[in-house]
Amino acid sequence: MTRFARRRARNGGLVLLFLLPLGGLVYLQSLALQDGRALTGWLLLAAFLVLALYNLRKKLPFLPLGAAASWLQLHLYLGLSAAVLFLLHTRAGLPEGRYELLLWLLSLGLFVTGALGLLLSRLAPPALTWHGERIVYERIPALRRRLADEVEALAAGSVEGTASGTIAGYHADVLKGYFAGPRHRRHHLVRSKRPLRHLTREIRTLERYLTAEGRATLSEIEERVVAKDNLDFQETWQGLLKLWLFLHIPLTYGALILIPLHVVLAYAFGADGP
Amino acid sequence: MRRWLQSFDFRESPYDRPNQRWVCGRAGDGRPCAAGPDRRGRCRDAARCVPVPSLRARRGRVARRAAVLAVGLLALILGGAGLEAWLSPGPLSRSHASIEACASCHEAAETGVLGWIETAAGRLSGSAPHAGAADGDSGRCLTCHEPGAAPMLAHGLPEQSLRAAAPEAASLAGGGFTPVAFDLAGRVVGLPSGMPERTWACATCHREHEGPGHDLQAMDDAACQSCHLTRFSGFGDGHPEFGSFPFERPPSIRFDHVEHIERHFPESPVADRPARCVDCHRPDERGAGMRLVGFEAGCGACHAGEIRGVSAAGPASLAVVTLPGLDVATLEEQGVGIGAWPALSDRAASPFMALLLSADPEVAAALERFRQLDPLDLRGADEAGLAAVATVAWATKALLHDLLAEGPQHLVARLDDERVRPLDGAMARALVAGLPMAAVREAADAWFPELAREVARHRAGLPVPIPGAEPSAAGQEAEVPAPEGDELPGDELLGDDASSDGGDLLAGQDPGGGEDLLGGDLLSGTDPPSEGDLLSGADPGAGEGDLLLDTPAAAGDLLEGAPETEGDLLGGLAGAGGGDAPADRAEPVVPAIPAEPPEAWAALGGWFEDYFALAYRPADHGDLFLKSWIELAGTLQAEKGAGPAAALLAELSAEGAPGRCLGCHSLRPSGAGGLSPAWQARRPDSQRRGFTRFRHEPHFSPLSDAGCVTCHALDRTAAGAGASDPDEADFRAIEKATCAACHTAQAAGESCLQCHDYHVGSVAQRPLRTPLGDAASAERDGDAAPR
Repeated sequence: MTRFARRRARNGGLVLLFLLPLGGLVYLQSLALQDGRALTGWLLLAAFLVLALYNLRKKLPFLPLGAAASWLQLHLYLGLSAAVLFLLHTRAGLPEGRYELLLWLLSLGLFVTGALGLLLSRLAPPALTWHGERIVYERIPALRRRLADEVEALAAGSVEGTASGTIAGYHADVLKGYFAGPRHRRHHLVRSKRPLRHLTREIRTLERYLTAEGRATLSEIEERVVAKDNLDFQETWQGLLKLWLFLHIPLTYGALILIPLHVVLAYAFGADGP
Repeated sequence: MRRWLQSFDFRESPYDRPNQRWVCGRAGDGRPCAAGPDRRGRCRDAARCVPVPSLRARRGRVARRAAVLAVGLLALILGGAGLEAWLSPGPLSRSHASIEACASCHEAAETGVLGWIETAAGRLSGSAPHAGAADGDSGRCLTCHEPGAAPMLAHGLPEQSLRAAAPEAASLAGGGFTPVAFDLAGRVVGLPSGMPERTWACATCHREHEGPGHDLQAMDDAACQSCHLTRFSGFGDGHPEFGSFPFERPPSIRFDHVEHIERHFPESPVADRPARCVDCHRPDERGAGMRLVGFEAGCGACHAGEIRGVSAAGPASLAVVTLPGLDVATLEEQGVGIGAWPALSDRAASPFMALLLSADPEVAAALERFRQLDPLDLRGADEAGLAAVATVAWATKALLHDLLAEGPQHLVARLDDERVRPLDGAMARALVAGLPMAAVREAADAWFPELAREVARHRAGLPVPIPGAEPSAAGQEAEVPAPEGDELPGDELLGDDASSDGGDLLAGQDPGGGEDLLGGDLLSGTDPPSEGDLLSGADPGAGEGDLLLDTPAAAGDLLEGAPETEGDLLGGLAGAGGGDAPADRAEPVVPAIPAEPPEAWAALGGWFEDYFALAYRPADHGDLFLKSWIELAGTLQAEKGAGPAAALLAELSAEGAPGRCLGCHSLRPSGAGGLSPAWQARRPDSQRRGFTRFRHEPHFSPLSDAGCVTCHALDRTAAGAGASDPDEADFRAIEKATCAACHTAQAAGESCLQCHDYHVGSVAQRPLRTPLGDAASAERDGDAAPR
């Protein structure tokens, strides 16, 4: 068993050790005509607060609050537990009231975006590694610019060297736009190489019109086209890893602000027995 | 060929700052400056650019905007007009859809947000009553609903009732698999079993705000088993047998099904005798209970005559006001002054009389002593016994006197004395059943011709010796005080004043008078030596010339109808001859009017006088007189205990008693030891619910050819069969297996609430309490409003 598998088994076991007795307790409470929503509600609120602390922990890296990796594990498995608590608390049903529906949607959004983040964190690393050179996300624009400049220089040089405007024309028509920014995001999302193949095939078709020197230039341009395609792939997938938090964190803020009123209403208006 | 783009050589690699808030404005173009912006987002390069927020900063900005949006939304909700619509946890059920204000059901809604926080904090800390408490929101449910006597307790029943029912409930043995979860719940969180004092919030079971289509009465079967000690996994698997259901209570109408079905009906010559169950039992309008078709349709063909007393042995009438027979000779010998008393009466004091007389405690005590004597042989009676006899005798006379003087309402007044609550008009009318004055007067005249005088003297404290006894000197000489009211004085027109020596117009008791207009005389029937009394009918000396004499030997009487009379004014029989009638003219034959016995004469019911008694004969089924007296006696028995009321009830309930009421209508305990007759067969009260309910009609179609017998099998071995104990049902108890054949989870269903009700007893909406003043003002407002 790998270390990762052991960790997953341990954490998963802990979650089950927490959730199974809790589910049983809620069921037993229902048999005793007690409302288990108070218990699940408070546990859910506590889970939300601890989950939100992870973001705070990331902002305070200098404090000795435990390793970020441990926090991430806590975040992941507590988030999973919170999802189950959410189902227990809502009795797996859609609420009828507006405010409760808003809270329900916020919470559901939190769980869905969290699950998306978890999924991306599992899918993106192998994809990025598989595709090619792993690039620091912040450097991608500069590298793209560098490749664009190099290709432009090669295209201009081919005019002087080969007295042919074939490469320059193709650069002007196709490659200039291709290198101007990220391209083919949707294809990269599904890890499709069709655009790259289409582009390299076009480049290969130009070879019949070029001299040996021109073909060498064309080969160098093709290398940069492939590198640019990797940049786009890296930017797409790394962007996803960063962009999902644009949903997850605001939803967390919104939920944490709206939950206290729900607690007040539950106790002030809830009519369940003592 | 793979081309590596990145270099991590510190001399060539740029310094990326993803954690900083600002990045170079040219970074997106791929040409960031080496220095980058400062912390405030200002460009530090010579070639000025406009720094842009980093991705992290933009994420934080979005998060803050989301927070602001959430706070703004909160402010809008809490401060806006749609507060209740936003905060309501959902639409109300259809039953409550008309409720608009949250405060109708929620106490906290009467306060603002701060009040909510205070309430929530109080309930969290336990310092404020929970919403589910009786003084919380559940109490507001009770402004419209009345779920039993103790609404916050289980089943709405008082704690004592729950405790009393618990042993029986616990004794029901389940048989199937017992869910272990309940045992576990009992150990872990504690089950509410055996806690009848625990209060329950309405919302424990009734979940509101779940939308219009939500069934507020839906209840999980597990909820029942939370409290009930007999737990099981399903109706077919472990539900206890029904016990004696539905015959746990004695039937209201005693009816021996076995005898009737197997003997009486086949042998009956009556054409429309019942042939099927539905000839007597029909489903009610809701198809729930099976109602009896009633006496007239179901029983009358055979049993109506028994009530009228024409087709059964035994008395057909009840002696209500009786003249108890007394040993007059001994009384006379002992000098007990009770006035005139018919020596021929051998009647006993009827229970009716005893009840009427016992309104006076002194008389009641005398009656107790009287019962221990043999009133027809008082030779061995001691002085106290004789005094008791005298008291009863005078009470009897007073009753008759006052009845004559005041009318039947005097009887009602006496009965009212016996009761805590006054009798209502309908009851009072039924108790006297139109007692005719003529019958009372006829009885009084026949029994006590000197009633008025005797009662007047007795009430005046004067001795009233038995006629024929030696009067005491004091009695002879004493003056009767002036009578009050309408009592008859001695000197008046119809007085019987013994001291008067002449001048009374209709006096008939004047021993020496011979000059009264009608004295002695014209209308008297009590003057043995008199001769020639005009209307005398009791002259054993065969006076001659009595005007209305019907003595056979009389001759020459004015209205005589005897054959041998001669010269009678209206005589006209065949043998009559001579006299005033012309001999050549044939007189019509006038047969004597058949003299039916009084009881037979009253065959259609009513009052009659018969042998020292005023008797009543019941008219038909549902006779109000009998019903009222049985109800009264049953009630008085509770209030007074054993005594005249109990004796009356015993007489009315005796086998063969006139009317036979209690032969079929059983007496049931009704509060404080009383007995109440079950006039109606038991029928479900829509306002009153029991733990178990059943609708007959939906069960008709699946029945086999066996029909009703599928569930109701005759029990020939039961105590009730053969009328050995008419209060026992003569059907076998219904077996659970009969129901479980269809009632499974997959077929007809096996939910607890299919057959059982949680709220039992009187469960109803509170009645409206609109003051008339409000109604009037609303009417005025309505009239004033434009239409």
